[in-house]
Amino acid sequence: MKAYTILIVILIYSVISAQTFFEDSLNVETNSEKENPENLEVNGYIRGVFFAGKVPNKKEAEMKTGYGEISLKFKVEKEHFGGAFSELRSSGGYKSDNSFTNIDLREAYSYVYAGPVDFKIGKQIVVWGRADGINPTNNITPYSLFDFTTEDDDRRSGNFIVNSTINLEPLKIDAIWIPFYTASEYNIDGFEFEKKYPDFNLKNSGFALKFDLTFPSFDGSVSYFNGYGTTPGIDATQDSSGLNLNLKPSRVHVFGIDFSATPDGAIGLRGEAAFSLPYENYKENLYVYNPFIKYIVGADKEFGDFNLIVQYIGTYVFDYEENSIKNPCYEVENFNRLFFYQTDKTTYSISIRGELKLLYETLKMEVFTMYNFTTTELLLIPKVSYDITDAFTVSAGGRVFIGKEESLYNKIDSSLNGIFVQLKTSY
Amino acid sequence: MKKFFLIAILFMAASFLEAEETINPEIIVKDAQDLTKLKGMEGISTLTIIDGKGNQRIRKIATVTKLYDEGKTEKKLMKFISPADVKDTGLLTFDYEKKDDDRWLYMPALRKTRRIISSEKSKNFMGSEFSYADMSYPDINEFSYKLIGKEIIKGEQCWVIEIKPKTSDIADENGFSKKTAYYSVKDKIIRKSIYYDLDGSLHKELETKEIQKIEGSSGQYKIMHMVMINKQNGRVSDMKIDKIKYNEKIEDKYFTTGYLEKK
Repeated sequence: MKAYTILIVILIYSVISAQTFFEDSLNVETNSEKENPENLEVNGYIRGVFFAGKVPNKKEAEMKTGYGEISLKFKVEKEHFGGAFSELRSSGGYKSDNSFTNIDLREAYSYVYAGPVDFKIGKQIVVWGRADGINPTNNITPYSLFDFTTEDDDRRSGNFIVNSTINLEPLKIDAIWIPFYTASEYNIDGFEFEKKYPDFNLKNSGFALKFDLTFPSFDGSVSYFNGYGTTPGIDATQDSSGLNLNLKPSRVHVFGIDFSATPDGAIGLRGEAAFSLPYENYKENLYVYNPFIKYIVGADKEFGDFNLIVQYIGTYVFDYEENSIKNPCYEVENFNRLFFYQTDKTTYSISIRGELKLLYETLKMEVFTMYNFTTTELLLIPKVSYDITDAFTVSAGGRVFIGKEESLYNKIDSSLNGIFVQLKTSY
Repeated sequence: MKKFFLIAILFMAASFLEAEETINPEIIVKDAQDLTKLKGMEGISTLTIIDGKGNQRIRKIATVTKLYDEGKTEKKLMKFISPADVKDTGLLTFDYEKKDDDRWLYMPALRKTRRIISSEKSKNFMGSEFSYADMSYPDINEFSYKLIGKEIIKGEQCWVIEIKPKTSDIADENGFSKKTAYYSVKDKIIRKSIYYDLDGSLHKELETKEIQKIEGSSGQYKIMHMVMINKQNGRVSDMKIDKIKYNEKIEDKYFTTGYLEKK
């Protein structure tokens, strides 16, 4: 009864708190009350993309993909009560020798504001973590590594989530329920997998909590995720037809922390760490990884128009044992270890992101690089973009994985290495 | 009788000169700053950037501000309404009187808020001729002030004040070695400002086009329209407040990273 009373009070509060001029002005471009009584806002982009890459097992180049894509974003505001948002992407073109047409409802959700509580339900993308580029606390929505895309956000995809945020400044609490499992996409040249994903069942749903604090000069959070990992492992089963490779996720607990700070205004500090603990026994299940801790500490500094972020990344694998060649599933286990960065008990990497903005921020040059000192693997992601005029941009870049034989980067280089050119118009 | 008049005139001239000498330029600058600080405000602005060839780029920005700590801190949220490629980008600033600002940037492509470094105030704001230093209140104590005379600017008598950063680090941070600023004798609001770069060469000129006395405030003003001209490359940036609403009761919820991330 008490809970109902509190809920009613919150709802009444939200109803009587009027929408301000500032909130109205955010929709000023489209919101003339007479012309657009529904407060419908439509925007998005149209782009053309071409990718070239490496021929598998050869030092030759080939065309990988070329496509055109339209993004349609719809937003409807229902005064100060809430609204809805969706993004639909449709693309068509060629990938290798095949033509394709694809329609993807990337996000579609409704939201309601109830006093200090924001409530969202539907297909949505959630991103957690304060480190740059590598976020071990980010486990809510899938992130697909195996696509030729020009922007990091393209790798994200939405899943159905019930998401509530309680704003009690300086504290913000995020409580998330993930009823249905959605996995990151795997497209590795030469491998066929059967997907053995969790059933649509209440006990297979996941949930996550995050307590986020924001103060002047410092902000940080502690988080917890309980659910199936969006990156499945590879399991092997034997039947009359032979050895079958299956994609199977393991249920995990992930305990996370992150922070960012600007102690003197001149240098930024950031850090993130997560401890991942699988439910199932990793000694008995091939697809289950060992418990591990991943941590990132870094600093960023600006030198005029040049921004530099340097991060140190470490991983510690618990109960680590060498994979024995006598192991009947040696190959599969090796692949899983590569994928979950568990080839060594400890691994150390450094990431550097440099970004230079020139010509009054119309020309942007950026490079993200990561070098793993333990496995001697190198990742390079350069990008140059130029705004021809407002909302009309040409960009070029690439992604290069370099690794010694038998390393992960060596295995995936022909699937993922590529250079691109893109022309994008936003509206 | 003649002698008496002469003495009287000399006495008046001396007392006038003495009054001019006792005018403290630092107080004028501080007063000018305080007079444009509003307890709370919501507005929509248009920033037009014109390059040397006459090409225009137009940005629309929604802004909400509120004063805290008896006016010593201004919290400001800016959200970009257009063009489409920067829409929903947001900048939250806690502008302190005596220390570096706190700033958070929300970029829709990253889907998260990033705390950003605030010491590089000389960087241009969204590709315009305005710098981040121009968009916030400077720490009065970081500069030295010298009253160098009076001048008429567009029919308005102004004090001409030379403003210099006290150290080379402060000059580097703010991007100028000297600034000559013109403050109206009548209302103390800035009318014009001439910037010299770190080499001492003429760099930019700021012109105040429109000033509005804010109804309901305690005698506060808002610069509604200002233009910055880069004298070295001919670029012009025009910042105009299209709509403004004085509101002392702005809710605190706007000045949170949670609100910054709202679409």
